[in-house]
Amino acid sequence: MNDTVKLEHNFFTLMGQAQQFTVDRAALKKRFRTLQREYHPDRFAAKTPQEQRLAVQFSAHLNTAFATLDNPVKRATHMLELSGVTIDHQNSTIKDPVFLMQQMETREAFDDARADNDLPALESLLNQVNSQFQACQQDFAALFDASQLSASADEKNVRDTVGKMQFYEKLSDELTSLIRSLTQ
Amino acid sequence: MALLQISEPGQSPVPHQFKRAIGIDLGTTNSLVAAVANKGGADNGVAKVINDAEGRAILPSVVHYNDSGAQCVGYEAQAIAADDPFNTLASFKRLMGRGLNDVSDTSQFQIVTPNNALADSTNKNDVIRIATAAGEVTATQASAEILKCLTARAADALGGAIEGAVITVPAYFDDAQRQATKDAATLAGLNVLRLINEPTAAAVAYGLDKADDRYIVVYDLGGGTFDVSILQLSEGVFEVLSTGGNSALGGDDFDLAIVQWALSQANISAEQLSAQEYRRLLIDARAAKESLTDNDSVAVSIQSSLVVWAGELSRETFDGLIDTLVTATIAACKASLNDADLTAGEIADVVLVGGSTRVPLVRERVTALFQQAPKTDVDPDQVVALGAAIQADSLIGNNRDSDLLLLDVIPLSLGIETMGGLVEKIIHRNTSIPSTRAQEFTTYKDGQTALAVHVVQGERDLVSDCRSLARFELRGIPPMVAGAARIEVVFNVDADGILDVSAKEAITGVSAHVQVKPSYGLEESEIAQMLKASYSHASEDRDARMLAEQRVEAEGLVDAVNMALAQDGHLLNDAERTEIDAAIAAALAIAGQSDAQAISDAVAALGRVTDTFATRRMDQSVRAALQGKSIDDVADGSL
Repeated sequence: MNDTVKLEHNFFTLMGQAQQFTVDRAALKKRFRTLQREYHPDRFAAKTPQEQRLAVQFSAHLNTAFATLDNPVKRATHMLELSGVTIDHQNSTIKDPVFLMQQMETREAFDDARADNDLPALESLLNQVNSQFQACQQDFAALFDASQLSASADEKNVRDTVGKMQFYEKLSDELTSLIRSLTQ
Repeated sequence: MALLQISEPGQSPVPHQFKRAIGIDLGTTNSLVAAVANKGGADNGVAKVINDAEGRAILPSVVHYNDSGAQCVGYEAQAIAADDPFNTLASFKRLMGRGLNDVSDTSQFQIVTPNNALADSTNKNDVIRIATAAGEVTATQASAEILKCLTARAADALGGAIEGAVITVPAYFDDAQRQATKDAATLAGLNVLRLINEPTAAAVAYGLDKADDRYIVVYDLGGGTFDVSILQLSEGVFEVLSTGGNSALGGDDFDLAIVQWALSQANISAEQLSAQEYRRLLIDARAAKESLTDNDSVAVSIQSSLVVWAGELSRETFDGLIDTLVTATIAACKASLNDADLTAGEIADVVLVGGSTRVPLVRERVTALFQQAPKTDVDPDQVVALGAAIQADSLIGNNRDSDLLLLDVIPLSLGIETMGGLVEKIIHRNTSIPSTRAQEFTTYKDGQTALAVHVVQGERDLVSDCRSLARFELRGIPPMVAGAARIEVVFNVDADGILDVSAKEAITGVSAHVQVKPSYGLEESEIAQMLKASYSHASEDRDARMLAEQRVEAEGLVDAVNMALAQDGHLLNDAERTEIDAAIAAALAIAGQSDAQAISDAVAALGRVTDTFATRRMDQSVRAALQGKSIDDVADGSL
């Protein structure tokens, strides 16, 4: 197949960002919009089917790149992939007992507050989860930049940190949508 | 063809050529067509609605059939409706892309056809077919008649064949309904540049795409439907945050309220009037409603064989009659605000769509809710068509300076069925489109050689709660132990929100593919069949037009290839260059003859041999863009 555009698979390069966890969101969005303005299929609507197909491909790739860099968990996963570490989110397990215990407690608090429709409790839980999520992101940034994944111990540690981030993100989403449905 | 036309900054590759592009508001009750006039002409780049020969902008979305097919549309069909209700279809947009399963409320199709005459071939999973004198008809076919009529009107007004169209659809339309709309355009022989959401079109007509980031409410009260949409404009990108409304509430209900009032004042019942007398009263009621927009009171009368009654309807009384109806629309606005997680005070603009928004009480209530006067400068009947025309003009390439770019999101999640009737979402709702996602699956039994892929749309976890879009099978997987096969399923959603799914087994390369033609849509072969049937009427005209079109296309392609060769010939080796030169010569030779098919084949052949060239040019352009050079340094935006 020679009909595919060579897609740049390093999203940091594609989006003109330094390859690090902290991204400049304003610059990211600006870059995304500049590229979409040039390559969105709408710019090719009056052109030939082949040009349209190439544009759809490239535009879809830009959408994926933006969505990846814009989201902390996806961004971290992408950074690991670029370093040759793949994460299987479905099958990875975290063995940190302190973290696991803490999560079980959070879950219980969540279930209780949900059962009681206890809005203040849910909101305070959300604040707590979000700050843990933030802290976890800072851990990742520190770990990744310090080690650059040189030692396998670091790799395990970094992997776990991404797993925890994913955990917090999911919990935060669930809490947010529950709170929204209760306040309507 | 496959060429990126790259030229010197500030220079167009070809002298600017005006292309005829139209915007169509394909409405439930009424449809309209609009276009942006050629720059330099009298109307200098302004979007205008195109009227029919009688000077009417609106085409009622009504089609009348007789035994030779679709006999007439619009006002003409509306006039026949009373005499021949069984063969006259109205409001068929309600059935676009819908199967019996979707239409739980049978009143939905009684609006379309009073006799409830669903064709025998309609089974639960199929698209609804209605029996008429012309045979079984789908909503897609009826819509195609409306599109044909509007396209012909526009071609007359603009002085030539229409090269592209933007058609509007409700924001809540799902994949099947969007596909059905595209199918209708195909049947009408219309090239669809893009389907855009109605509320987005209305916002574009007001030039809001050039505004700062904000939230916009579009309040659309049509004849028979009410829709409210909340849009977010963020750096020139429109996103639909929430939609709501009532598919059985519209301006027609205001008319009915006046009819009920007059009947009770005259102390008679509707049954005591003849059909004709009742129709007359309904028409008078509508006129009274319109009159009350500018007057404080209006005379209403009933003339029947039993009673002659004359009275005066004041604005105050009328407001009282429609109070509950208007309150219901305001409640829907509040619900949509909630869904979008916004308060009324956060809304920067309120855009009114639909003729019924002229009613003073509606404007009063909307103003009170959003604490600001709604936008009303653009005719609310025309605003959607005008926005579509502006977008069409930009897409076809007439307006090179236009910065208008509508980035859309997918309204509902797409996924496939996995074990236990569960849905695995592959593309989540609100993902920016176009979008490509791949997911790997495996076999669950030893020796399994086939895999059924069931594509569904919706937010729920169970397949039974989602809408089934398509099923296909991947066969010929070599027998392996369970879990050894690696099957990659790829979803591609284009900029119109239409899906294409393929599946491939990684080890053997066995693949299967389906362009999602939902169970509710029309099969490709069905469309071909319908197209053939419609061609047979005026085959000679069409042949001549086809030949002319093919010649234009061949010449355009050859010009473009030559231009590309002059600029980027160095991207090719000698053998490739020779092959392209030969294909150009062949295309030119055949274009001089009168065989449309042969020309089309030659164009296709030239397109094929320039594929690689086009790709290299695109790569070159993208690489340059990525190196941080301004795009303007490599191209003038006319890729």
